[in-house]
Amino acid sequence: MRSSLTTKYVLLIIITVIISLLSCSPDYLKKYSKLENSDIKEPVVFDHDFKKAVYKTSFTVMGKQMTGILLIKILEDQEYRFVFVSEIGLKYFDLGISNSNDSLVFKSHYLMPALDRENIKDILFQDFSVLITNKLSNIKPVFYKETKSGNLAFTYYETNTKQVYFLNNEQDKIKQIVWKNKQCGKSEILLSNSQTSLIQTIKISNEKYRILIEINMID
Amino acid sequence: MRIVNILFFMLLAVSCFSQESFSLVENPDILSQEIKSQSDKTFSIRSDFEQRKHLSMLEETLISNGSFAYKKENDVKWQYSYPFNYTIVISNGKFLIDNEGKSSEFDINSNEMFKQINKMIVTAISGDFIGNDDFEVSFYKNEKYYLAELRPKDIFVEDMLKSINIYFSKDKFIVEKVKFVEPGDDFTLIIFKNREQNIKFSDNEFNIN
Repeated sequence: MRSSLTTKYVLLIIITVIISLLSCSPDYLKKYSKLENSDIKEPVVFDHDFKKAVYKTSFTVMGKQMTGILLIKILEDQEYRFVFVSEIGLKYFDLGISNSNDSLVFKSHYLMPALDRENIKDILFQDFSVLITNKLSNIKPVFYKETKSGNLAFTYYETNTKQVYFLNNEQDKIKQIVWKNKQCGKSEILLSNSQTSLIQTIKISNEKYRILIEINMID
Repeated sequence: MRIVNILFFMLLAVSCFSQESFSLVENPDILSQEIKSQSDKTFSIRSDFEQRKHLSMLEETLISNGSFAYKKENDVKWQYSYPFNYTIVISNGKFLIDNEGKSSEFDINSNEMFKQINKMIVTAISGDFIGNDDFEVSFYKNEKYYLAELRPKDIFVEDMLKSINIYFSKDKFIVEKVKFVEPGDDFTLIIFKNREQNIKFSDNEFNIN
């Protein structure tokens, strides 16, 4: 009799925990509530006219800093290329992200030996792929609205990675992206635009792997 | 069959021509001596430069420029003014960097990559590679230049660089262009302009303040 009661209590506690976990939004969406049946069109980081951009970039990983020029270019076959070279012309990496049958294909065209570590590669691919929000047509965003300010956010969930995009006050541009997964931890990405459609600055930080990438458009 | 052969040779000729029509130097020892003699006589260099980073697959060229200084044996300064201000000084076993006002310093020997980069830069700009065991050297020539193609023997360097191509003027045997060719055929071409030689530098030339 006593054993049966204990089992019931344990079950009740487990069910309560599961329900509370399911109903909770992630920390960064705590003040937001889900918008049902939203037909809002999500803004993109690089719009459809985007061809290429060149940025002054600083990349710090595990305390080691590399600086130089980052070229972001979309090729004719729709592959996005992220090429980072030092000021003196030494190539650090050349990473490609493309879409094949509505799934993302990551290709490391070149990664200097010091950076050729599985986790660093995965984080870089994830950091860059979340910037290409118009990449997959089969993943639909879920929109959220902040109760007080009315600011919008939307989420994607793909291949075990949760991605949250926060919009600016005008609700027309992405100002922050947060993604996280078990393997790579969490990256926070801050974006800023000017009047032009091209993104001006991108700041990416991943605490777990002590990665900081600061990308500033060259005037 | 004959037409196919003719076409083949025409294609071969076009392909050779497109590689800047360089042919092997018949007497490399004589050329080596001339280059060495010029290198021995050069104690300092000041020059402007243009750097073209060519990314072949992306059909892109990133252009930078600035001024350059070199003092025997190992003092080098690259001062970029475009597309942004950036200075790198190699002096007294250290890399000193000024990145738009932010200074940093690294010990060259603390990092194998720094060490190799330093060695390659100094070798390329001074033209002082004769008798250097780190590279396998071949000499070529065309109407305008002598070309020394340096292929690294070190596996670590080979991963980063396929060859260093140094272009010498035919009259004075001075370095006019340097091309760092990477595996995969991307390359960085540095073209020197307004070169002055054996000038005296101020004591602060190879410092970053």
